[in-house]
Amino acid sequence: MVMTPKSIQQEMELFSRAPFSKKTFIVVQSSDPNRLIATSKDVAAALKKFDGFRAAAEIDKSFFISYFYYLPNIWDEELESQIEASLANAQQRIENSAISLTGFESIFAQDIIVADPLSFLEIAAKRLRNLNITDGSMDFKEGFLVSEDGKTAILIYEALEDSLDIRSASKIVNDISQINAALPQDTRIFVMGSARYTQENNDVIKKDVSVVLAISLIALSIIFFLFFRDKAVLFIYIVPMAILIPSAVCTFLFFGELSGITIGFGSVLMGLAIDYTIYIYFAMRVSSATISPTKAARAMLRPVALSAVTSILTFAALYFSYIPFLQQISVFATFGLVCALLIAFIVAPLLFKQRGITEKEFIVSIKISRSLAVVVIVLTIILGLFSTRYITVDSSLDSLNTVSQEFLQDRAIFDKAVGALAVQSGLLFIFGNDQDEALRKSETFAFDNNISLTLSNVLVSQKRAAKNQERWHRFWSDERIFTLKHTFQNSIGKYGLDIEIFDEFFQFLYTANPPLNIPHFELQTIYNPFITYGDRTAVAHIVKETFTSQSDEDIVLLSQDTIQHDLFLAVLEKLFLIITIVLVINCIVVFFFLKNIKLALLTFIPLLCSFAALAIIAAIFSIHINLFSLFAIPLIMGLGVDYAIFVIYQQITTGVLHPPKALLCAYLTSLTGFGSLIFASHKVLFAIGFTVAIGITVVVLVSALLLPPLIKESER
Amino acid sequence: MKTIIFFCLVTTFWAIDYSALSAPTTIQSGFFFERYLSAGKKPIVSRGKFYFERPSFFRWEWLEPAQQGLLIDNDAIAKWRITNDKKEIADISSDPSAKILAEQLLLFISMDIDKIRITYDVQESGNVISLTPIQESTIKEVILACNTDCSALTQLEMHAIDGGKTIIRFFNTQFDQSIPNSAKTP
Repeated sequence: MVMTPKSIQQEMELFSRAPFSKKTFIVVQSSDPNRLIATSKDVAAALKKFDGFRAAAEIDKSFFISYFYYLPNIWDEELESQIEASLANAQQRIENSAISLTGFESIFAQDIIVADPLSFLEIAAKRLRNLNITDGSMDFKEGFLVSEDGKTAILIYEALEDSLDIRSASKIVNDISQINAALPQDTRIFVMGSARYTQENNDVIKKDVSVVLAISLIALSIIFFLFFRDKAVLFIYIVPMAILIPSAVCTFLFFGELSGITIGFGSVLMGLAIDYTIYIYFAMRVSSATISPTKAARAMLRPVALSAVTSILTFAALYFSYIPFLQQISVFATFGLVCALLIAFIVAPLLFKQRGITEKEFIVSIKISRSLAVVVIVLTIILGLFSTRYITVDSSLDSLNTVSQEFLQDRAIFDKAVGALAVQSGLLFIFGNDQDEALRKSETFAFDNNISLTLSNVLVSQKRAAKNQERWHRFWSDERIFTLKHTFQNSIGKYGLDIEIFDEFFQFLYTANPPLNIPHFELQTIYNPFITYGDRTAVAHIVKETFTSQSDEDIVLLSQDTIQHDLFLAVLEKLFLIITIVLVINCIVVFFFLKNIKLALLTFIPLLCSFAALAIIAAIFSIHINLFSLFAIPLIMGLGVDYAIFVIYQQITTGVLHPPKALLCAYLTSLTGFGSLIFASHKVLFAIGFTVAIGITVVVLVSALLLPPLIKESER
Repeated sequence: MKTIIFFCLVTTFWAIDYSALSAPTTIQSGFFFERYLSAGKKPIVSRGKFYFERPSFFRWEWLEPAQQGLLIDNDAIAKWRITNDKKEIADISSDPSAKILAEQLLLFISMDIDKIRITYDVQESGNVISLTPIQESTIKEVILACNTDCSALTQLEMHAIDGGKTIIRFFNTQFDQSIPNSAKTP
């Protein structure tokens, strides 16, 4: 949910409240089908010892008995005709029940046989089976969903309210691991559901945060060792750490939470935050000791502030994505960069000494002619435009999920066991002011569209229930019951049974009322049919059909495809908004500082080349662009323009305060930040890191090599 | 008085010799089966014969009022019934209820007290053994009665938590007799 735009969060919330979504599934696997149920029972017993597992009500005999006594409510035309047909061999059915009662089956099934001697449940249970999360490939045995091959069982537990909380999720997963460790070798268990997703995501992000921060710190150390070797530089080194913690605290205070992705983005902030102090360091290093430190720093105010403002405004623009994790990154980076800018201008000039050293080591000696520069730029842009035809965009939600290989294997086992239905089917939410109205609307919808909603076959509105009960009473006339009793008497006498055993059954046929001790049928045991959204209630139906879009706002059809489509469109919409904001801001800021249209336009050429190069690389290497790699575009725009600005200032001023070494160091530190994200397992972090790292590399190359020939002598 | 004290001491310290109960390699016995419904109506009565051979062969055959039965041979479980002179056989090896029932029956008939103690709390009183499930179960209590020298079970009484009751009375029990081949198949 943290990665979805708020505009489609209603859909996502509905999706997350779908039937079965509030269940935790414990999957038991055994290579020996004969041991599966026993192992499942052992696991169920073991789970009772742990907090955090609340068993869904058991699907046992009493569940089916309560369902049997619920039959008058769902006694529609179809069920009536099926049961009427079964009565043709009533005598045989009665005899079968009588034999079962005199033999070993009476020990464990007597109450069901006595309640339902004509085995109506055999017919009616098909309706429950259709509600199954499986596509019919699993069946309920002893309260467990068991696969056809008898090697996989699923135990259903209620997902606790805080299963998305990492501590609860980790506890659940760890408890399962403990139980698993005690199982025989040929059996294993694992958990599927929100807790597992939460724990998986957290594991990946935790690992990523350590790896990414460690790599970026090591890379920064190497950069400092290679370029500085100066005691004063230790201050530059601590700037990133100094802003990282307050930025995280500020973001946490602002949102009341801090996503792992935002913490992972800390490496980027470290890489970027250091740039401004580096610029000041080099400016101080090359400036003469004859001028005051404040004056020397002030000479850098315009170019560094311009760089900072474009970056800060770019990150600030991300807030308008209304995607929670990007909003967090926006606040995190904006706050951090503002702090870094203040440190660079207030603290750094007091610490760095002016040495009047001329930087020569990294002066670019490659001389490119103006015409060659133009040809290279034009060719890159044309090739880039051409490559866009071969770029593929991966809009699937899976491209955003990052889970371990073990999780993928477990999910494959789970999906295989439950069948494709749970994964591929759509969800139809029909709203009403209360549960009964939602059920009524569902029945009307099914009738109007001439479709059968499986849920409406087992859960009916009060009005439909009353109608069905009338049908029951018409069907079970005194005459029919009298005839049936006669058949019973003729059939059971030879087995030594007395018809009074079945008194409750006949009483039920007469009255349609269950005996007093029978609990009310609770469908929620296997299916969460109702969801509350705002002050309204919806019935959630799993549907295989696809319907054309409904004009009725009380009817919402969701499927993975529709969610994916809507998510993609919503993200694209936000992306265009952000790109527009960044572009407008950059144009205004660059023109305001440079006060020259041509120079202002030149700052955007490296960006154009960068996007063209990214398109070419994606086309050549068949890299699928996912939703969040697209968010690298505004970042490249906001950050990349800094290097172009630096080079332009270098060209139009004496260049003394803008040594190429400063540009190289600033680039390398930024590359460290984004480049370290390439080592992240999380797909979102990787996508942003990879794209921005390539993007700013191209920007720096174009800025350093191709921009200078385009600036005329008169502009210098 | 001395007699009473002596009787009390004897019944307190005279533990059942389970090795005698679990000694026979095979057991064959007739049985009466009484099933009391939880509603408290009069019992359903039937009669049959069983064959047991260690470690895990068990044939439980009903002869009246209907011919039906259950055959457990290691992991294989089959049931049969004869209706209208036609025998119907079904493999129920993967039916968990049948499997659990089979395991329980083998447990009681084989009288392996160590195994019984894993799942039941065992109490003895004279020649009566009372078993209470240690974990939550649909069985409330099982009462086993043996003959005066406690060499054979004479009655098994199973009380369910829903109030239902099953009583199986054994008669003509024979030990270590070879089981006829005809009894080895359903």
